[in-house]
Amino acid sequence: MPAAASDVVAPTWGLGDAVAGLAVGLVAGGLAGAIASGITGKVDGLPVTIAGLVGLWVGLAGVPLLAARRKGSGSVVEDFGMRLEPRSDIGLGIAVGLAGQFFVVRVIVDLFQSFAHDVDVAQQTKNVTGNPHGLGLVILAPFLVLGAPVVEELFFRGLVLRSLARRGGPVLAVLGSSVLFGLVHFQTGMGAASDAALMCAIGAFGMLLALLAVRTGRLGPGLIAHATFNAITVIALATAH
Amino acid sequence: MDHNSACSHPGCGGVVATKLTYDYAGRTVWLVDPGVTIEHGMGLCQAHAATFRPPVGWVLEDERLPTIPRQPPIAV
Repeated sequence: MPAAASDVVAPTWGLGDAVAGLAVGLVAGGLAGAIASGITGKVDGLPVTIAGLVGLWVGLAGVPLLAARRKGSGSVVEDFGMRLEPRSDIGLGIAVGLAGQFFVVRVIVDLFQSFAHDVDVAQQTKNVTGNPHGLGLVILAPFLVLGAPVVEELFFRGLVLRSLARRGGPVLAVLGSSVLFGLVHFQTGMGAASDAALMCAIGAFGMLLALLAVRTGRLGPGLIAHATFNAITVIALATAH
Repeated sequence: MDHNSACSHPGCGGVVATKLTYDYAGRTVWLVDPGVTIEHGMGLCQAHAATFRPPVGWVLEDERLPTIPRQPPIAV
């Protein structure tokens, strides 16, 4: 028998779960990376990169899954819009992914370069991926093109965006989730202007993804856009060696 | 220092994108593409080549071929 309207319980997950997911992810990612580093005897490299990613994803994916099960409908499709409508989402996602990589990021970096001539974010890909080639790139590619989009869309445009939207509406949700997306990807070591340019560029791309999620009410287009964005980097790495 | 492999700017070591050579008597500095062979001088990365300024009283001759700046993709 279908549930009556009065039987449907509104989800009770919210920003507290988002904070918990981020905290668990950062701690688990740091621990996993440190363990991999201890085993391999190196501070970077493919095993450390993958261990750090998997640890981070324990929090970013685990907490939304747990929140949906314990505080929501039990389904991330229902609670966070984790669904794909291939006919409309694939084309839209690819277009936004291409625009993000070749227009949004470039415009932001160019803007920073007009103030500081030494802005150079080329090191970012090496820092994030460990600059793999050959078999290493084949192993890492699914993490970048499939894993990161699924996990990060579920967390940032699912749990975080919808929690913020319930508190303050769609504008706060888009802005807040984009700023957090940029901050989480912040890294130092390229110089202050380059670090800031990179954070703003990623935040701007996060804003595109958030707008897609708000506009369509699902994560499908953002998933494809995120996957396209990272696929371009994988292709660039593959052709650079 | 090998001006073909790494940027000569102290503490940098970035990939050489430009070579710099000079004529002390003529007070002239040339910036050339990394593929050009020079007898003496240094290599500079993209960032340090962009901010290079010759000493006061010297002439800078930029002989690099114009290139379209290429922003490498990033991963998120």
